[in-house]
Amino acid sequence: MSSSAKFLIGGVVVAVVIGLLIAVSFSGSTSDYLTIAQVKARPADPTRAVRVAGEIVPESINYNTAELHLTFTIRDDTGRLNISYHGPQPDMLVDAVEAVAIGHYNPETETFEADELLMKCPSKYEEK
Amino acid sequence: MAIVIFFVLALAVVAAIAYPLLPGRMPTGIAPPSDDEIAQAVAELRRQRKQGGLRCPTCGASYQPGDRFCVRCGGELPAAPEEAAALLCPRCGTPYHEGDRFCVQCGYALAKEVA
Amino acid sequence: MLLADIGYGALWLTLAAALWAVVAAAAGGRQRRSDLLASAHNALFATAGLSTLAAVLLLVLLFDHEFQVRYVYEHVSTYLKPVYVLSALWAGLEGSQLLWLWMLSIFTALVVWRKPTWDRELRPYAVAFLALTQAFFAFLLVQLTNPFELLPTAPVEGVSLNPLLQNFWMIIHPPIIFAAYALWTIPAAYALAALVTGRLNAGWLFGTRRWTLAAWIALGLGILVGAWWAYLELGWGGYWGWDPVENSSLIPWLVGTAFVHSAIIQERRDMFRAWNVLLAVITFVLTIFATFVTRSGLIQSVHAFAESPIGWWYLGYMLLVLAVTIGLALARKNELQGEGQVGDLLSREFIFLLTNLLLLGSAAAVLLGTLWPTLTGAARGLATSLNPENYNRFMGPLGLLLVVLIGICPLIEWRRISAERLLRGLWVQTVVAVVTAVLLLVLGIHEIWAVVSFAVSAFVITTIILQLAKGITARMRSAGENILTATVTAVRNNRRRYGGQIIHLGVVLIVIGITGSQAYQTEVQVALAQGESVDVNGYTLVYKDYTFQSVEDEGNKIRNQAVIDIYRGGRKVATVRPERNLHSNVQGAVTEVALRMNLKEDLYIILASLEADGLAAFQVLINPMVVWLWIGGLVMFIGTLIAAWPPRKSRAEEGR
Repeated sequence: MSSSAKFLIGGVVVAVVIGLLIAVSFSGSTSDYLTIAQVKARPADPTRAVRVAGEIVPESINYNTAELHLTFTIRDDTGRLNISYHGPQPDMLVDAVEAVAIGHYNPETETFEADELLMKCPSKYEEK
Repeated sequence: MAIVIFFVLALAVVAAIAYPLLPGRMPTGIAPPSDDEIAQAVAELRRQRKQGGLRCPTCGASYQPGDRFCVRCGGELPAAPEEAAALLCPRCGTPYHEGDRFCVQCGYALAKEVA
Repeated sequence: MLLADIGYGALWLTLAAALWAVVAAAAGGRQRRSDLLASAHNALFATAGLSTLAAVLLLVLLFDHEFQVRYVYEHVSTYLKPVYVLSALWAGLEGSQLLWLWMLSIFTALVVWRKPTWDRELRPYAVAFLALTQAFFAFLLVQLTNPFELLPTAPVEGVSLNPLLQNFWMIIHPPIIFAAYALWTIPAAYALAALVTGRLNAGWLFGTRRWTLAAWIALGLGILVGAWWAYLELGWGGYWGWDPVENSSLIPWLVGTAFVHSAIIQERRDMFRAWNVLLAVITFVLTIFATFVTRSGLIQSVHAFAESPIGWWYLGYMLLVLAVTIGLALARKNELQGEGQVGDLLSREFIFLLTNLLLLGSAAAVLLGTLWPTLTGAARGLATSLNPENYNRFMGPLGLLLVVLIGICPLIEWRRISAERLLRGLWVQTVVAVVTAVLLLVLGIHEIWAVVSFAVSAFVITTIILQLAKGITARMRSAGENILTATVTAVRNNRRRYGGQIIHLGVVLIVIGITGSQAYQTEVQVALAQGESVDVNGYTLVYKDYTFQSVEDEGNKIRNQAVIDIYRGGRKVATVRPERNLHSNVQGAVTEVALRMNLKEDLYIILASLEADGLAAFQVLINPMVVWLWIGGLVMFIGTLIAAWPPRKSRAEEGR
């Protein structure tokens, strides 16, 4: 086999392996963006976190300092959802701001247990 | 007032752009290398030729600049005096082989002396 | 508003001059008329001057607090500290566009100013492309994102800069990133010129090499500075979140790294010609893509910039440049065939091919991951997002493989090397790697990938040290110099090689930092009353005091601060003051973390909440080895300086 053929085949093999690695990495442990109604309707799956976004309902933010426990409610067109999070309050967490919670919904307590919170504040880097 | 300043700026820009286009201001061809540039390039080639090209001190095989070990005998090679001793035509940049008298790409005469 | 009008007028003139430069340069190159070329060059000196004028005018308006100018109103206030007023120039979309145009025009002027030598045939077309890009930016500035737009009346006070941006790094990070983006235009311009003229040998690479290195290190450092800023300011203890905005600066850097390496193959062996023109243009196109990502609103990000139609114009320019490049490349298929013959699989050429594939593969994967929510949403109606674990799962192995290649490449020769010679050259570092792995396992580190990563890093560092030592000792023997002189002359005579080794060393240090900080973070959440303390990993943190302070000098700000004494081994080592502040000009609280760094680990304290009676909640993080990321970046910078430093003589060789 000529050198250039070996080279080409070697390159192709490597490219395929890299592609497979990437494909495998993309499966599992991704999180879907759901509406509030979809979150409540979906059967509980402890292995897959989901993402849900909504506007923070005014006056719903509550922080228990002793337990570093944050609770608030978000809403979108499909309903309302109670969020529970353990940790520091994220910056920019205020009424009427849009928040994204990543975590799992607990149907028994009707609360979304968030592992991560992201504030989507359009004024974060720019004033509109 | 702003309009005045704008027109002054615009005028300056147009003047800068138009100046070289005025007849007689510039030669219209793209200049070939000047005599100085040619002399400099030839002096460079002479210097490289004096080094006798790149040959392994152990077995005499030729090697590429930057190599540390000879591919034929494995012996260590001296540190390169300057990086990129690759031979390039001074006019068009095409690499050429030692001993060539004319550049294959642009025809430039590579050696002004008999090698 | 006189100054604003002049500024706007200057931008229009910039557009006009740039358009003329495109036409004149292309025609001058085609018809070989140096008068047209000189006219084009003057036009580009004009754009440099005009965009400087526009930038200066905007700065004056900012410092004068001319709130009738909308951009000024939105980004500064009378009480904003002057150094942040400066950074307001690039804080908003319009200003950052102007900054980008300004930098591009200055670099273009530098390119144009030098006497043409090696690039005599290429320069007209390269200049035409640089001018075209300038015209594109100028057009967007006058039509879509005018920094000099006026409000109907002048408000009394401005909105001021978001407190998250009032930070030293806001002064550094965006300018470096935009400079990098502007610099990456230059290799792309010369690649296109090479395609147009058919002069596809290594000439265009030799001459753009320093521009490419500058672009590469600027982008790399810009990314690191951004990570540092996120670490310090955002208060979640991390430095990288795989957020679309972060990703969109990483992707061009990965492709640019492939280009930097692939260029070496063409210089030495005249192979990979097609790779190189494509990589150069694609890197530039990806810098444009970055703005498209952040501004089109197509992709959700926590860095949620305001949406603007400008994103779609960027997409259009990207596609145009790509289409033209691919068309030209197809037309020049013959000239893209290099002279070099491929060697064996066990050859340096193949290693470089691997490098290209690994870097491009990771860039493509990060790009795909960034677009994944958009793609899945459009395809299935349900948007799915990748989490950091997904990214780590492919970036980890790909990154490690690249590091391994750094370690073995210097031993692999051009054309071919026998397997036994290779193994003979590698046995020292292999032993070091195995010993490192065993030591780590004995010390109790059981994360298998962390052990592998550290062992590989040890392998590569040993290779680099051996390479440096070999070169220096060879010099000492052959020239009889002492070790210091030998080091200096060895490096001086072979800047590219030694500079490259040092850059690689920096990369490995960064890998060590990433491995350490990912493998072993310790986190403790605790609520303390005043006077109480907590033990974390050998540190004792004593919560001494707290204050609620109203601070007037930066607008209205309430500073809620806790004072903590840190003890280690019974001795007090520091007092830190984490804060959680409220500002009058922005909703919500802003945390200022307390950070103590040393070579082994970072102690990172977030004040989560402070109540009126002094009850405070803290999140304490121990992040191992984070400082090695920053040290690695510094080493990379030094290595790049060495590699790019011009030699004192023989410019004809370098192909300046």
